[in-house]
Amino acid sequence: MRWRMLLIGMLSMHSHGCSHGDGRTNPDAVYEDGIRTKGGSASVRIWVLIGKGQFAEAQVLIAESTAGGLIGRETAQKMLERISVLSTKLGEVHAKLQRVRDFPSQLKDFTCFESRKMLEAGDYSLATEAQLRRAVKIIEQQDRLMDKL
Amino acid sequence: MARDAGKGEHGSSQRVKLQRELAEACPAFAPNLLYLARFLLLSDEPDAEGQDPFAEIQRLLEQAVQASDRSAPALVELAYFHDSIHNDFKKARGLYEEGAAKALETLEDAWAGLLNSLILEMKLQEALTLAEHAEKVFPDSGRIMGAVHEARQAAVAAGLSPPQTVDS
Repeated sequence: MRWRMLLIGMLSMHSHGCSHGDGRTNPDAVYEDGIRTKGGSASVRIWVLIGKGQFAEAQVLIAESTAGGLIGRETAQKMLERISVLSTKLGEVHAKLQRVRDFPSQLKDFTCFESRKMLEAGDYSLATEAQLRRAVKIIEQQDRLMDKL
Repeated sequence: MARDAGKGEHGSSQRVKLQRELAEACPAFAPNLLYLARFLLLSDEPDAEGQDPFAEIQRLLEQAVQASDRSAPALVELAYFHDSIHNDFKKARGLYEEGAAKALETLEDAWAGLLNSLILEMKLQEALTLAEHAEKVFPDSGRIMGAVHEARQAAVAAGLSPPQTVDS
C-alpha cells in the first residue's frame, strides 16, 4: 500500500508545518464533529469528492481542512485511506487473495473505484455484476485486514 | 511465546512459525488464532494443511469463534472470510448478524456507562451529543433511555438547553 503511505506522509508534512502544538483542542475528540458545523461541512464536501472519484481535489481539501483545524487528523487519515482503497487495482492485491476461487482476473487492471462505477452504471461489458462485486469485495477485504494487523 | 510471536518483521516465517506453535499449544487463546488467520491471508506462507490455500485459515477462524465464546470480532472475521474468500455471502450473512448483535450488546453497555460518566463529570455537551446517537440506536433500551433523559435534565439545569426542547 505505497499509495496509502505516500498520502499519509503528505498529510503529516502538511499538518506538522502548520501545527502550533499547544494541545488546546483536539479535533479528533469523539463528539467534536457533531458540534463543529464548519468541520462537518468540510467533511461532507470531502466525502462527496471522494465518492465522485475526484481524489486530487479531495486530497487538497483534506490537507487544507486539517491545517485549518476543520477536520481532525483521524478523520483525515480515514479519508486518505479510503482514497487509497478506491485507487487500488485488483491486480495489486496480495498474491494470496488472488488465489481465491473464481478470481475475476479480467478486472486486474481496474481500480476499486472503476469497478464500483461499472456496477453503478450497470455496465457489464467487461465482467458480470457478480464479478464486479467480487473485485470490490476482495480489494476492500485486503484493506480491512491491513487495518487489523 | 506470545510476546515473541508478536515481534519480528512483517511477513516473517519465524513469526508465523511461533504463532502456529502458540495456536497448537494454546488453542483457547483466541486473539492469537484471529491474528494468525488475518496474517496468513496476506502472507506468502504455504498452507500448513495441504493444497487448499485457505483451509488452515478457515480452521483457525472457526476455532477463534469457538474459543472466544462467539465474540463479535471472531464472528465478523469468519463472516468476511466466507464472504470474500469463498464468495458465500449467504453463509456470511448469519455470521454478520450474530456478530452485529454481539457488538451491539457491548455498545449498549459501553454507551450507558459512558453517558453516566459524562454526566457525573459534568461534560454535558459531550453527554448530549452521545445521547442523541444512543437514542437513535437503542430507543428500547431502558438503561440508555434513562441516561439520555438524565443527560438532558442535567443540561437544562446547567443552562445548556432550554427546557422546552428537552423532550423534543
